[in-house]
Amino acid sequence: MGMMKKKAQPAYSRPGDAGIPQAFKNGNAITKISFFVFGLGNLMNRQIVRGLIFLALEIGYFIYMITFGIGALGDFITLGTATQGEVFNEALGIYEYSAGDDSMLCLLYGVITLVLTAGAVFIGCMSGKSAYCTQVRIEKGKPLPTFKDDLRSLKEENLHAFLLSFPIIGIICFTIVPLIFMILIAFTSYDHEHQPPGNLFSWVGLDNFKAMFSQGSKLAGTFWPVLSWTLIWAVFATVSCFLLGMLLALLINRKGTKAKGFWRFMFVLSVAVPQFVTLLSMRTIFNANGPVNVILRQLGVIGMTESIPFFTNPLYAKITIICINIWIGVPFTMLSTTGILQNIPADLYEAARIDGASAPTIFRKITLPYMLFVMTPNLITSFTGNINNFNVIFLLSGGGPDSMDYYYAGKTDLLVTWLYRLTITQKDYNLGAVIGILVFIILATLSLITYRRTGAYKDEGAFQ
Amino acid sequence: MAQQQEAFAAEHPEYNITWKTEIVGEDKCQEAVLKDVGEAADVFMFASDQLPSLVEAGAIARLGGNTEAMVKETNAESVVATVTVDDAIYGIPFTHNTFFMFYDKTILDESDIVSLEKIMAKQTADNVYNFYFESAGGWKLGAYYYGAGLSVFGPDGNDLNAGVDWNNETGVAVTNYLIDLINNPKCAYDGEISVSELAGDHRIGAWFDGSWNYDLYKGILGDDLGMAVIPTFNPDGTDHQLLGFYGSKCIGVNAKSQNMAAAVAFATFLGNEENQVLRYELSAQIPANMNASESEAVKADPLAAILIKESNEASVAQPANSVFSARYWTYANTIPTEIRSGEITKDNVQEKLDTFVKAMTE
Repeated sequence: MGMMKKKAQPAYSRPGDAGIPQAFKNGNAITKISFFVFGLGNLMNRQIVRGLIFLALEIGYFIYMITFGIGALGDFITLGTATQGEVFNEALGIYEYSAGDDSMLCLLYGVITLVLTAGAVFIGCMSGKSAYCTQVRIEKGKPLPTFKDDLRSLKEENLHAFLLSFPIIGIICFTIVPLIFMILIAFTSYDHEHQPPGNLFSWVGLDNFKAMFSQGSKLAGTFWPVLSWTLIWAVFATVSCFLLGMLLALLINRKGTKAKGFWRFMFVLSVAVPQFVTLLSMRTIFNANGPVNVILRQLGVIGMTESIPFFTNPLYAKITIICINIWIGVPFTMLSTTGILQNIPADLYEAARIDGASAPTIFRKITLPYMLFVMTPNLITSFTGNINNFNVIFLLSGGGPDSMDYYYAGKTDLLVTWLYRLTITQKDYNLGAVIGILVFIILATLSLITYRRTGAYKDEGAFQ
Repeated sequence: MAQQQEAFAAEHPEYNITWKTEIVGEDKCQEAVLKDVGEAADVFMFASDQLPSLVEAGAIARLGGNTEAMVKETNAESVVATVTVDDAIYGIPFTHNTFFMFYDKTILDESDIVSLEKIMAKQTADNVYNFYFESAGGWKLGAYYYGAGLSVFGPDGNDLNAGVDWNNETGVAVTNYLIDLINNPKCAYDGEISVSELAGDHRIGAWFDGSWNYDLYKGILGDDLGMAVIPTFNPDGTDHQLLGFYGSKCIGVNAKSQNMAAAVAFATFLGNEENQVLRYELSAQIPANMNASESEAVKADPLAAILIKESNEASVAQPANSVFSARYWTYANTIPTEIRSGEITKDNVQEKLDTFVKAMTE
């Protein structure tokens, strides 16, 4: 009924109710001009404060553009033209440097100017809508809201806009702007040979992406193996933790197991140690001269100065990392699966047993489907989490052992740790940005596809 | 540092200086400065191998006039070369940056330490490593290849057209030698175990390190600590002297400094003779300045003696160009890493070295 009512009598009490094209089409001349001269419609109709605020914003924008913004946009297109100059000052006997253009700042200010321009367009639309709203009210003979009414509405019918404006401004400043900046870097030549302020970088279009995929190039020769190890790692890490955690939970949850609480406590203990501490101590434990190798030496399994290359042989390193990850991940899965196991109705099992189903059949037909139904979204998140599992790789092997066949990567580097090396040590920011974008694309597609196929998504509310 | 700042302020009352000191290892200086050149320190100390990337980023100011003259006059030619890029001087060297050999006198004696073969052949207890192989990101690895007469980008390291000759016959021989060395159970490998731990138990014969760790080892081994020039090795039937990379630690001025004159003056002050002597007295950094290193105190110092001997007899100027620094450290370091991981074996040495040369030159 509520919906019907709203549609039946369009009350233009708030500017938000009228669409922008509608306001522009139906508005009178003043309303139309208000799209360009902010606040005109309000000023003409004695809504002085509201009109002035709009106008002040527009004037502020134009002052910004004239003093700074237009130049910034020009620099944004060229990314700077003047390199740093060097002049010898005879009198002082020193070399002095004239500041050249800084491509990074050109790019940054360009992005900020573009975002501000988008903001100005938005405010222009708001101004037009506000003028239209006033126009409609006058036509209908309704009272015009004063500025006081406007302020009061922020506490009442416009509370949502008031409360949301702060987080949205925050997200635009601290997430959207940097994100646009980073994405744009992928289309520039901002690498170790083009470091500002001494050197300029420029737009290169899709060259970085082409280099990443071109046949036979060193980058492609690194990207594909690193990507495949990333996927192998993510699958193994996710599946192993899930299966083993579930097995452990089943074992503990079994009817015959005594002191269930104690066992759970024992296995959850490892969660109490911060993850990075566990990882660093594992790295020491499996070091070539760590406790494991020392014990093996004492037992006479290997020679006195020999060692098993847990982290130095690529294959061993991969296996070691996956195993250590099991140690870290299993307690978490055990905890969550225990909750689900206890939630499965006991009568299902009883009925199955009366029908003469064996234990494996019960597991396959009841427990597993039930678990998968609840756990699949969780599996997807842990899969994506593992693709970007920086901690485990960085703290355990640091991506090593390094390979000369790769472009500054090691045999256990994931895309995300490779990205770290490219940006932090190699200063190839453009390649880092490319990898960031590619990882996002891969993750978004994989998780959307799998999520849409899950029972939890297709059949919300059902259990089996 | 504070002492030096006060002295400088007293000498130059015309400057009104707000001091702000940040402690960054010389090896990490480039990273700290390049993060934001405009905000970085006006005067900074750095290891000379970072010079190319600092110059490339326009972060370091060229020195001229009196400062340039001082650097040229008071330092040996080889030291001046470490702060020179394309005939321009960018830094004031204040100490040597190279490594030499430490050894444990209870394990090895003076007749053993002349060659790597003798060090490795020495009969030692089961749990003792005769030698500690360290690549140090390729820094110490270079000694083997340069020792055998190979080079990266020509003998002076700046001729990009000269390419890299590590994949010739000699390079294969050196790499085969390294394979045997690294896989020898009596040789400890880079980073897998700490030298100081081994030294504490008298379990390590000889290792390469620099003067900055002298106090550490002296504290552990006391009079048992020996020091020598790095030894010879024999990869192909002849004895070659290992040649370590030589660089300097130096003082540079930020090109974006707001007070260039004051910054240069302070850098010059920090790098002058008196302050090099002071730095030697306070933190045992051997002066690069020739007059300062002629002082009685320095001459009588065994550490200084070995460092200067090493510089003269068993070192080679570390190439200083941006291509070298962008590629060498990563790719050269993969040689020992891949030997250790079993990726490089005697069967594929040639192929792997070809890959290395291609990575360095393409």
